[in-house]
Amino acid sequence: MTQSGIRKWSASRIILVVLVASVIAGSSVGFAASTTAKYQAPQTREINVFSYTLPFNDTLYRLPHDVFYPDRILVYKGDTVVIHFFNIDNGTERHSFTIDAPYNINIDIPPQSHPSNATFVANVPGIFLYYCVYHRPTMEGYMEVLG
Amino acid sequence: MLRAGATLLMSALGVIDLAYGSLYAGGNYENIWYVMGAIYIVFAGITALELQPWLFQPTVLGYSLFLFSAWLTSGVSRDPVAYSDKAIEIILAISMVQLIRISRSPDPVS
Repeated sequence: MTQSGIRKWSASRIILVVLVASVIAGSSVGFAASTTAKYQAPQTREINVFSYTLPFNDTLYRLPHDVFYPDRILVYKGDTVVIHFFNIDNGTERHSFTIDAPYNINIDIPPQSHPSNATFVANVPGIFLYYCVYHRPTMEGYMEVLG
Repeated sequence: MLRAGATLLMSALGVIDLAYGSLYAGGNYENIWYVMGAIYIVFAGITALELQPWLFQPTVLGYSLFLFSAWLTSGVSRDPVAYSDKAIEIILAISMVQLIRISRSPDPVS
C-alpha cells in the first residue's frame, strides 16, 4: 500500500480499518497480559513437615497431644511437591504423613535424626487431608492444591 | 476548535498517565505508564502543529482505541483515576473520528 493510496482512502474506510485493527491488537495484548498474570508456572516446592508434641497430658484429655507443623500446605496445580517429614518425637512413637487417593502418600517412620521424603506432582486441584495414622484426630492437616 | 480540544485531551491523558505511573502504579509496571503518557504528549504536539494529519490522526485514533481495548480486556487498574483516564480516551477517540472526517471531506473546514 503506497502513501498516496492511503491518502486517498475515504474517512469511513480509514476509520473502520483503524478501529478493527486497534481493537483486535489491543484486546490481544490485554488478554495476553491477563493470562500471563494469572498463570503460575509449575515449580518444585520443598516443604518441611514436623511432628510436634503439645504440652498437655494426653491421658487426662483423652486426645493425642501430637500435631503437625505446619498443618496447612499450599501449592499450585502442576507443582512438584517434595515433602520432608521429620519425626522429632522424644520417645519412641512412630508418626506417619499420610494422604489418601488420588495422591496416595504414606511416610511412616520412627523418631530419627533425618527426614524421610516423598515426591509427587500435584496434578489434581482441591483440598486434601493429611494425617498421622496413629494420632488422629489431632495430628491432621490440609494440603490445598490451587488449580 | 476540534483540533484544540483533541490536543487538550491528549495532553490531559499524557499528564494523567505520567502521574499514574509515579503515584499509583508503585513498582507495578510503572514504566509502561510513563511510555504511554510520553506518547500522548508527543501526539499532542504533533496534532497542535498539524503535522501530517493524514497519517497522525488515524494513528492517534488507533493508539487510543488500542489502549482502551487492552485496558478493558486485561482487567488491571480498576480505580477512579483509570476510569477517568479511559473516559477521556473515549472522548478523544470520538474527537479523532470527527477530525478525520473533516480533514478528509472534499471541503475541509477545520
